[in-house]
This record gives sequence, structure tokens and C-alpha cells, in this order.
Amino acid sequence: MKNTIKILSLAILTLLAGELLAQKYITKNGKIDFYSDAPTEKIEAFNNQVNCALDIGTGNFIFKVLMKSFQFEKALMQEHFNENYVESHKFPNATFVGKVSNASAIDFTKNGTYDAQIQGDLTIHGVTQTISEKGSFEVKDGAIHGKSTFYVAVADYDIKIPQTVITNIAKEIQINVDILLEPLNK
Amino acid sequence: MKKWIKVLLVLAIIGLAGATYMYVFVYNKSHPDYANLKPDFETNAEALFVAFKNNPHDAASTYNGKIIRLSGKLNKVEKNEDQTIAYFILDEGMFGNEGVRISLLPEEANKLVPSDTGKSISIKGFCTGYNDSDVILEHGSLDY
Repeated sequence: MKNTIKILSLAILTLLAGELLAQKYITKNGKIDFYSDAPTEKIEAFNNQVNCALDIGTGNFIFKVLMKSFQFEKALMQEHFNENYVESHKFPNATFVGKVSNASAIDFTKNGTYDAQIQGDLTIHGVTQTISEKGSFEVKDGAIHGKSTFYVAVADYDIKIPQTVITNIAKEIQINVDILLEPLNK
Repeated sequence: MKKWIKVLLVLAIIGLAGATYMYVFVYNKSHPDYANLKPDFETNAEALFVAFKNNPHDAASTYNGKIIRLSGKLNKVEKNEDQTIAYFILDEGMFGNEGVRISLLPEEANKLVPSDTGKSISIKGFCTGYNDSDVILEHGSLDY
């Protein structure tokens, strides 16, 4: 009898673990680029090695971004970005920890395009701000393609721009997120 | 020619030379030639991964922003429209596999294909840090 209970418990745990894994979608090749459109200069940078995980059961959503992985057209801009602005030696990661707040309205198992509302804590340069942004998910053949464009104010993250280059860097930076999530156990 | 005109001309030439220098060699200076940079550290993927996993802060101080040459048996080659990634898999975590991921320079991208999995390689890249799952190296190039 005891053995039967043990076997049944093990079977249930295995099934539950499988179910939980099936609910998690990830990528390690997420793309984030940002764009600064200032009066005297346009600056663009991209990062193609962004980690992201989405639990479609709970809507929990997490991003991990290495600041030194952002690539700029000009080496000098990349240097200034890392050394003077985001101080990537002190704050190597940016993170977002939040939720798809309307996850219950999205059928992540059915092909289609869905509007998404994302809420959570965005940490850049060691400063955390709660943000609420719009995005979309396109579910296609078992993969989830997420996209969002939003703006962050550099001052909100205690990023100081010297007076001499104040016209070279926008006060608000456009962030574009593009992720293709696949089931974790694939 | 009057002396003050000569002085003005010399100053203008110096100013122009300075501005040209700043524009070409400072503002527009090129990115490092990563493939030909000498490595700051030579180790293996497991030692690098363990260093970050055990003490992320100290490892970041040591390795971030440095050129690292790694040797070892390749566990996976990932290819997508943007990049080729060489992957040394060393653990499992919330993002699935964990280890050291090296994105190759565009001119190196065709030097690895998925069937190279299991091959022993020596690879060099610029360490950008640890994202609590993988140690990331960018601008990778293969050494033979």
C-alpha cells in the first residue's frame, strides 16, 4: 500500500513538473535596441543576446540584459555609454521583472496575435522604476513572438549627461524589444 | 605679409589639423580589431563559468571587458539570422542550459556549423559579463 502511494505521488510530481516546464517559454537570443534622437545626433545600439523567460501559466516575465553587450556604430559612443552613462563596470546588468497583466486574456497555445499589457520593475544603472507598457504577442506553431516599443527617461535612472553633450543625447530613449520565445523543454 | 596675418594663418592651420585629428581619430575611431587582439586571460569554459557562478562580483571585476581565450569541447552551435553562437554547456537553471556563450564575429560566423558539436576548439572573445545563467563573450574568433 505504502509503495503504491509512493509510486502514485512520484507519478503526480513528474506530471506536475512536466506541466510547469511546458508553461515556461524562453530565449537567450532576444533583441533589444535603443534609439536616441537628439537635435545634433542620432544614436542607435543593439543587443542580440538578451535572456527572457515567460511563464504562460502565471504571466510572470523576466529579462536579463548585459549592458556591455550593446553594440554601437561608433566605438567612442560605446565607450561613453559604458564608462560614463550606465557605468557598466558598477551595474553590468539591466533587468525587468514583471507580469503580462492581461495574460488570462491571451491564449498562448493558439495561433494568433494578441495585445499585451506588461507591468513590472525595470532596473537600469542600479535604479528601479515600476513601468507599465504595451506590447504584442504573436503565437505561431508553438513559438511566441513578443514585441514592444516604449520610452525611458534617462533622468529617471540617474544617468547624468554632461552639459557639453546635452544636445547630443535625447532626454527620452526609445527602446525596442523583439523576442522569439520557445518552450523550455524543446 | 603682415606678421599678424601669418600668426592667424598658423593658428587656423593648427586648429584645422586639431579638428581633423579629433574627427578621424577620436570621434570616428574604429572598433578594436577583436580577432587580432591578444588575450588578457587563457582558461577553459568550465573554470570561467565556475568563477562567475561562485562569485559574480569578483569575476566581473576580473573578466568583464577583457579578451578571453577558451579551450574545450563544444557542446552546441546555434545559428540564426543574426549570429552564430558557440555554446559550452555546463549546468541547468531557470533558463534551461547554462554555460559560456560566444557570439562569433560576422567574418567568423561560417567557421562553425551545428555538426561541429563535440569538437575541441580554441576560441577567443570579449567578455561582457554574466546574466545569472550564462557567461557571455562577444566578437568571438576561432584560433587554430
